[in-house]
Amino acid sequence: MAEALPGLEVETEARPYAATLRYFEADGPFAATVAAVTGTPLPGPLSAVAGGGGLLFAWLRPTETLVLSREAAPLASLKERLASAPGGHVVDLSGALEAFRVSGARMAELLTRLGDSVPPAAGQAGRRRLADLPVLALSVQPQEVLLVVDRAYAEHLGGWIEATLAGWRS
Amino acid sequence: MSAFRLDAPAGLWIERTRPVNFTFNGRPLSGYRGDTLASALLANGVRIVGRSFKLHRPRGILACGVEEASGLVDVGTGGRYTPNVRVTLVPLAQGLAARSVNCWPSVGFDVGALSGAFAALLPAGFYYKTFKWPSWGWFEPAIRRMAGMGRAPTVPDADTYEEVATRADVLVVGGGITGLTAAVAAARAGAATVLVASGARLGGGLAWRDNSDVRELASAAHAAGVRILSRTVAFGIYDHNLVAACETVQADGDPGPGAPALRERLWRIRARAVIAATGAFERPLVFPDNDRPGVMLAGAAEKYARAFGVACGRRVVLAAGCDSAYTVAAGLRAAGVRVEALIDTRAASPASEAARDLEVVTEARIAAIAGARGVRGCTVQSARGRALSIECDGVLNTGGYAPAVHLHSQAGGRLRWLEEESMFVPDGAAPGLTSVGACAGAFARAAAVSHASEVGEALARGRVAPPAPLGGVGRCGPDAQGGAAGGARGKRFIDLQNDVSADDVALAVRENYRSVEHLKRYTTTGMGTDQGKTSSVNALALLGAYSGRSPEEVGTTRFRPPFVPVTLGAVAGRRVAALYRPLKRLPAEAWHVARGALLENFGDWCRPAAYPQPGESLEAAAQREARAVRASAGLFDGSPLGKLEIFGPDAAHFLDLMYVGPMSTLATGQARYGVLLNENGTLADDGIVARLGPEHFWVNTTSAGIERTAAAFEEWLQCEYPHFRVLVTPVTSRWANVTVAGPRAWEWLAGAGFDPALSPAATQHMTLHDSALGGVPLRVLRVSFSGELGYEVNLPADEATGLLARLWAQAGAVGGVLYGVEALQVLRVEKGFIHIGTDTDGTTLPGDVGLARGIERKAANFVGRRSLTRPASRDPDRLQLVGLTPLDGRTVLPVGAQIAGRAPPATIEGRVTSSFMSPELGRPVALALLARGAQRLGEELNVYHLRREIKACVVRLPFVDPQGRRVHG
Repeated sequence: MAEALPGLEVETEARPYAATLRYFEADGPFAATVAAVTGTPLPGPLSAVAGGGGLLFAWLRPTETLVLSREAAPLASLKERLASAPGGHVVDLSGALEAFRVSGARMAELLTRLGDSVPPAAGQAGRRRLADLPVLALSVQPQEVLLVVDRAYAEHLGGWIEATLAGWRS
Repeated sequence: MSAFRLDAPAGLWIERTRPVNFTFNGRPLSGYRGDTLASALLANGVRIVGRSFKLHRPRGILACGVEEASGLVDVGTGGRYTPNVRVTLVPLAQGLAARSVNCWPSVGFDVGALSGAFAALLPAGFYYKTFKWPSWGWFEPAIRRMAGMGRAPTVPDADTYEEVATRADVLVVGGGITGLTAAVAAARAGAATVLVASGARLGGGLAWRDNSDVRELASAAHAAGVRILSRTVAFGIYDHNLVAACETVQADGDPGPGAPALRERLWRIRARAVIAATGAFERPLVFPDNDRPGVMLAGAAEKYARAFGVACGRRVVLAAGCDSAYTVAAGLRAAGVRVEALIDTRAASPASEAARDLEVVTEARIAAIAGARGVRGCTVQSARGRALSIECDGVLNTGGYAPAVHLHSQAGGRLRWLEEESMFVPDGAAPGLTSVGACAGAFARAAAVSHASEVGEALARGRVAPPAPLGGVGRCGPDAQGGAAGGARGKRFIDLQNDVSADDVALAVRENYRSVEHLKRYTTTGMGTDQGKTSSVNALALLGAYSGRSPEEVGTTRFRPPFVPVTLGAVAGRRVAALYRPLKRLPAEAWHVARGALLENFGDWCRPAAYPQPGESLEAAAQREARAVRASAGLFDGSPLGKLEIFGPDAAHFLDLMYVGPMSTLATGQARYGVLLNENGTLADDGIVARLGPEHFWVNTTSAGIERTAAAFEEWLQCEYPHFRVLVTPVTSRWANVTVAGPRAWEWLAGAGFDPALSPAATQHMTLHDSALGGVPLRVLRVSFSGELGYEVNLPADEATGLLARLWAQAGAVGGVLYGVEALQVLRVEKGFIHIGTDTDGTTLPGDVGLARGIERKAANFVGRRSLTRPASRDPDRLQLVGLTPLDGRTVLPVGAQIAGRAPPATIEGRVTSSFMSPELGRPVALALLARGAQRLGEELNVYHLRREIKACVVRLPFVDPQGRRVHG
């Protein structure tokens, strides 16, 4: 999917390489290992942060952080280096998620049509109910948001976006 | 009534240079741009708009806004057709087609009006007392046909709708002068402020008076950054200050053929504080035949004159119980309408000083209306007994005001009665909502505006809002409902939409319906789309008068959303066609479709039900596929199977608590079937649990049960076992599941290059193996839901299509087939395997379906265990899973069919839960839940379906391979 209107661009990210970091304590040994390995501390609540190597970290809940990458290698490297880290584990979710990158001045306007009353500001991440689906909305730069959805639901979210854009075009 | 179009300058809102043609009941008429359908009908002299709900009395137009109770029409054609629309809310559009409702063959000659002859037999609640003999069933069809108004659309909606979510610090509902004032004050105090206004123009009741204050406030609102949503009606307030509002986007009637247009937009507005500035409704007087066409609300008549340039009559009588009638009279006379007299139910009012040249009859009431199809005159009865007949073509009336407290009431606010003004007003603020202006009972403009400003600023700053300055409307006649005494000829209606009269209220009181809630349900007053806008206070006052109580003692009912009718299209929004509901899609859906898969919804997954060949039915395809699996092998996409990873030092202990069977005893690489119960001991889900490592487990749930199982695990961990170090991670979409089952399953896999270490000889049933194929990691489970040798190959979802294609390329060598969910159901029923939710319900215990083995021996506790010890859980009469076969050997027992000793009505002993023709056995097989089923093997039973009796026999499960040898290959 790649759609563009004045002030708005929507494109489907090729299914990102993804993993979820699960840990018992956000300030425990696993989190410390992540910080040591990536040079980036785990993001705080409702936050998203771009780490080194093209990794994107998004807080999901007190015991979980999602990691996204466009390339396989950085994630594989992270998984390998965390394989024996105490206090948590890494679960590979590559292929399990779909992402829609929405950018432009009308980004917020589109998100309100999907059901998001407060689109995330840069540096924020949070689960939303968009298009009747659970969606993670995260933003690391202004006027751009990444909508991450279970791949099984990607067609529904994409269809809702397309229907909205079609209405705007007509 | 002889309504007519007034000359300019009357008609502030219409554009006389832009005529608009439309039809009413097929009759071509014309109006002007800016007209509503109501104003255009009036201007064309249309008296009768429709027929009443119960008695089919001719009805005209009563009001000028959302409170219109009787002027309902069907509007539009084809895909742009909307039933039961208020004529007062329909903007006139070129080509608009409107039709009357509740009449046949025409609104002028309505056969249904014959019911008027039997009106005495149709009092409130007549349907509770009559039609009982000889049988309700004799009368029901005819009554059902007569019920309801308008006609439902017959073709899909041609237009589109959307939904928008937004937030506000302060949301103001109402675009009148107090709403604007509050919004401006809130915005100036720094609050993100949204204002919703139901009309296209701001100003409320002043909008049609060309008031300069309104224009200045509107400018100030724009300057202060108030976000204004016009033509938007807030129809409901829900938990945590969520306000739902519907915006009319495409209001030009039927735009004709062409691309779908966005017709309405549903707003979901979450606000920190809500200010209701919704104004007040005019309260009608109750007098005999007050429903005749030509009887209208006085304020509405003035609005028609000023805004639309329509006089609602050439010679009108004003009947009043409040001061505002004098203002209306002056306005109408200035517009060119002759006011014959003003009938005031009260003694002389100071307001009459302004109408010295007007004939005012005080302490009088309307005693009769002349003219059945339109007002021709009226009779006035004074308190001194003098009767006065007046020729007129319109009777305009006003009994005071009823503040529009609907949102306040919906928000949980209380009301109190003001005796002087005869109205219910908010008793302080409701949770999260504060009322200002007329809806708060503040009618003195200067004080109300000042209060609105204070409220706007206070709420913006998070402070408590000041109380409303009540009053300003003057003394209203205490007897707007026409007194409790009867005797006058002609029905005195209190609810024009539901045909409820004062006599109905009196009857209800005689039958001891003293609660206002009971009165509402018994008489239907205040129900329907009207929601008591013009009837509520009169009904309450009458109930009080008839039962010797004050309105305050009677109390009010709780107003419910929606405040105005909302189209189903607006509620549905984008949720139509393919977006009707979210469906999960398989990673390899395109591959299946290319091979002829018939996709259906199973547990919110869009899955292949079967792969029918040309000319083959779904049932025949499922039979063929199931037969092939038993004979050779089948390939199945089990990707929807729920998958969880359970990790942590307490994972084994935790799973012991969650499952009936022990999981901590599993060795790495072993798998076990497990059953999950809820606290009541009933079956919640089932699936395979396998051990990946010392602290790491793989859990399969049912396809539809993954969300509830994951949520249950989290709830137990977070609420009951927070000290457990366990992490639960759903991974369903990460892993596709490709299942190969059948006696030649391994041959098929081996041909595709699978590791020989996975062969049946090298592996055991119920084991898990990490493997790889072509560099793709695999988690292979030796399990079976078909009873045949089975391999569930779990692999990264992106690799599913590749593996399916690779296997399918080898299918010919083993006679392999693709099989869908329907064939899987056949296979599992042949084996007597239950499907949770199909063969179980909310009462089924593990022992009922033969899954209680080992419970007594299990040392560890588990969820639901205690409930299994309750006496009811040990009741020998419980429904238990059995197999059934029809005695005739050919009738497939219908799912849901009842098992009983004789034809129902009779004691039901059980029901059929799953049923298929078995291709393996060549006869039907079924699963059933049957009382004392385990003790009734061999018993012959009667199975009933739609009055058909089928003889069946209880048999032992499973039907196929009772020794369970096939799973070993």
